[in-house]
Amino acid sequence: MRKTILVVDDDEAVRNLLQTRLEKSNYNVLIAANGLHAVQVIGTGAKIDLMISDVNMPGMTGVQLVEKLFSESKSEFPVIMLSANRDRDIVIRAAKTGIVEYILKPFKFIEILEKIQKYLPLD
Amino acid sequence: MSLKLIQHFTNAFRSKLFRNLALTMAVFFIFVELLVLVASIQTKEIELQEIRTQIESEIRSSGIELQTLNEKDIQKRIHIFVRNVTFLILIIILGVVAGMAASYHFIVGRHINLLVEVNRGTTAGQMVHISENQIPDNEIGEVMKGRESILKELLEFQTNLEKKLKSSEDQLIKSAKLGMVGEVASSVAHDLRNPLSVVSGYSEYLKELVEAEQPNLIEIKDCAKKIELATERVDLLMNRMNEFNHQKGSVKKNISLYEPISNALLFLESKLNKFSVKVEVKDRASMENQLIFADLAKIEQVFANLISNAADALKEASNKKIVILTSEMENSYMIQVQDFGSGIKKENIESIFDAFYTTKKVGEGTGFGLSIVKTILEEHQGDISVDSEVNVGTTFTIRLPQV
Repeated sequence: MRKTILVVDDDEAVRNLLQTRLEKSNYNVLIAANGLHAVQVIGTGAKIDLMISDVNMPGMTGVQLVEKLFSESKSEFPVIMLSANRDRDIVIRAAKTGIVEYILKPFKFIEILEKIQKYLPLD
Repeated sequence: MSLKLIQHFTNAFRSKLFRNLALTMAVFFIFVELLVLVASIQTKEIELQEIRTQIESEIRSSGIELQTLNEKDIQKRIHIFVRNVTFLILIIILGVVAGMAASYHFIVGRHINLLVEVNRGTTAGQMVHISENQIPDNEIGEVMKGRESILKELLEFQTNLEKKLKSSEDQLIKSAKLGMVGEVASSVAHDLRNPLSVVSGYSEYLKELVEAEQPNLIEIKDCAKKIELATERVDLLMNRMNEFNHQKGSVKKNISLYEPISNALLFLESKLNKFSVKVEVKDRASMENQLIFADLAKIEQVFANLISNAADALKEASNKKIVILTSEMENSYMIQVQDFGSGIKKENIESIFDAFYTTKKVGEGTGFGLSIVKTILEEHQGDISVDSEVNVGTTFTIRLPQV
């Protein structure tokens, strides 16, 4: 049974890259272009095993998204933050939400894959 | 003609210098004349006395009964004589004074009057010049020439000063623009990491694809295409910064209101993304048709400043939105930049357009942004006002004249 990963990023090229490569690595991929969109996707009740989210997005930021999800305890899945934002306050605020990783952009896909496999071992 | 003459005389009498001179001379003249008069009367009296004695003795010697000459008659004649002489003297004095007044006016007075007149104008703030043909060929003329040359030098000095002021103002505007580029650069650097991630991700993938037993050429080509697109994006991001900073020459021309706004938005895209701020430009179509006569580089700087400030004010806000809208009023366009952010405290609002004034942390703001915005708008015969409430939001209203 394939695991499902939700990719949230407002950058289409990044979304496409992650989708292509994750699918090649035998994951199901759902995508959302921003925080609000992600809430909608999760709201459909789709089974999600892990979420990769950008931080700076219009409307609702990645941190706001995770704060909302965790406070409403709607989701149990691990979250990996993926951002170019090196702002200390933001990183600390993100860490406090309970995310499992904070990966800085520009990233190497292999690095992300390793982290994912740590939380979602392939069957 | 006679009226003009009277005017000339009254002008002469208005001169304090002349009045003093004339008065002194008149008093002196009268004094001397009186002395002469008294002396001449005394001489006449003595002469008369002698004639009388002589006549009397001659009459007596001829034996005629003498009837004494009437003393009173003699006195009366003397009085008439004195009166006539005094009258004559007065006429002479009046003539002399009038002559003096006329010559004073033609020789000195009218030139001094001219000098006083132009100097009054100059003190009132206008540079009033004396034309070449008004300058007489005498000492006053020299004074006038001196005045004109000082005035000319002063004018040159002022023009130079104004030029220098304008150039340092332009320099300041340019520096502030560069400062904005520096500030936005960190956001652009942030934005560059997305395409860089894409380049790096697809290059890794490309290696895997190439190393496969049966390389999928379509996928390989697709990968290369994605890398190409990502590098184009890097280029675009860098260009926007360059474009904004590039001095397009300070030339005013007819531009649409939308042009500087859209340029500012493109330049600030990275910052707005980073701050998760949305900008809503209301009625873009009409903005494209609203023309102003302006220096594009400077007006886009105005909007970049206001939008960037609004984004800063939205840091902690829940509704991260900036609204830009325009309206028309009395041959002007009113452009509002509205945010629903932290607002400006009442005690700070009066100082926000002052140079060096900032409430931002060290390194975050120069304190020049809004003062430069104001300077640029004044250069365009426009102005700016602000309306703000803490934790409700801020609206800056720009007025720019229509073409």
